[in-house]
Amino acid sequence: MIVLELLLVLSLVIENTLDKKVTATQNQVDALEKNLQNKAPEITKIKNTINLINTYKKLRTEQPILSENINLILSSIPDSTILRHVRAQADSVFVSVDSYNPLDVAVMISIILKDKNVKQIILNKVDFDVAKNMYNSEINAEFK
Amino acid sequence: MKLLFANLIDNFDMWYKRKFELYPDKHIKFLTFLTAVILVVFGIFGLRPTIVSLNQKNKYKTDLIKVRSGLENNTNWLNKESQNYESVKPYLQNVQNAIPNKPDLQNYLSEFVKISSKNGYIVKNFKQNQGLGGEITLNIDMTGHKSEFYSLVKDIQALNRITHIQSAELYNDSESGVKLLLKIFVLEKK
Repeated sequence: MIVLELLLVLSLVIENTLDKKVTATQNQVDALEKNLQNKAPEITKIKNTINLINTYKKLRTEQPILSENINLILSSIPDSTILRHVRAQADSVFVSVDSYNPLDVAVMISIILKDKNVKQIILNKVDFDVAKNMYNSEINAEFK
Repeated sequence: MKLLFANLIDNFDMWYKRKFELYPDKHIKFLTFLTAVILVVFGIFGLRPTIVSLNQKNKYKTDLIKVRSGLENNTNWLNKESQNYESVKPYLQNVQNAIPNKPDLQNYLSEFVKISSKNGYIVKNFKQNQGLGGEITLNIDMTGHKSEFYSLVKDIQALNRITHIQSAELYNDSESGVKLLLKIFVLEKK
């Protein structure tokens, strides 16, 4: 009986202590919640900024850089060759040129192939126009 | 009345003592039984509710501590990000210009025309198409001389507003010009 009574008293003491702790924790939680609620506009602003910066980083990383590939192809064209058409995409540049000498195209290809970013070159076609006495060549350069 | 009551108690006491002397075993059994009943009753109605209540309160306290920990983490995150925000604030305008939160095509076109004319190109045609995910696709036709094609592409890449060149086409037939397929972006709110 005494043990039981002691147990009861002990449990009541523990409950009381626990109540105090719960109340204290609840007050802390309320204060933190209130603090965060007051800062809701700031949180939104920060989240929007994080979203903006992440999007910016992603788009900048994914931005295709065509200019260097175009520069390589255009600078490889000999002066005696007439540029007809260039179509540049993220990883390839297509070029169509007219030349009096088929060797001009060979020179072009060898210059392009020297660049280490070039994966492969496909010579799509070479036509000889009898009327103009010119070779029309189409080259597709693919980049790494 | 008081005397009668005192007599009654005395009589009961004597009767009890007599019974106790006559049947001690029975009496011990009765007391043991009574103690057991008291223990059970006390356990069920006294101790058990207190223990159950203690258990519930302890669980609630544990949950509260978890919530408090989460809120503290959020507060710490907020403090840290507020500092970061203050440090990036001066540069934010540049990033906002790179990805505005509205299409703002007028300004883009004006900037585009500026760099086109700088490179000797004239914008002939400008078509826009709003896509998914805040993307705007632009089809642009221009006339101009082929020699500045590389420079034009380079300048477009360097525009303040992020511009992805999907394709850039230079043609040099009866007239020389450029066709561009571009993508610009509008910031989507999450």
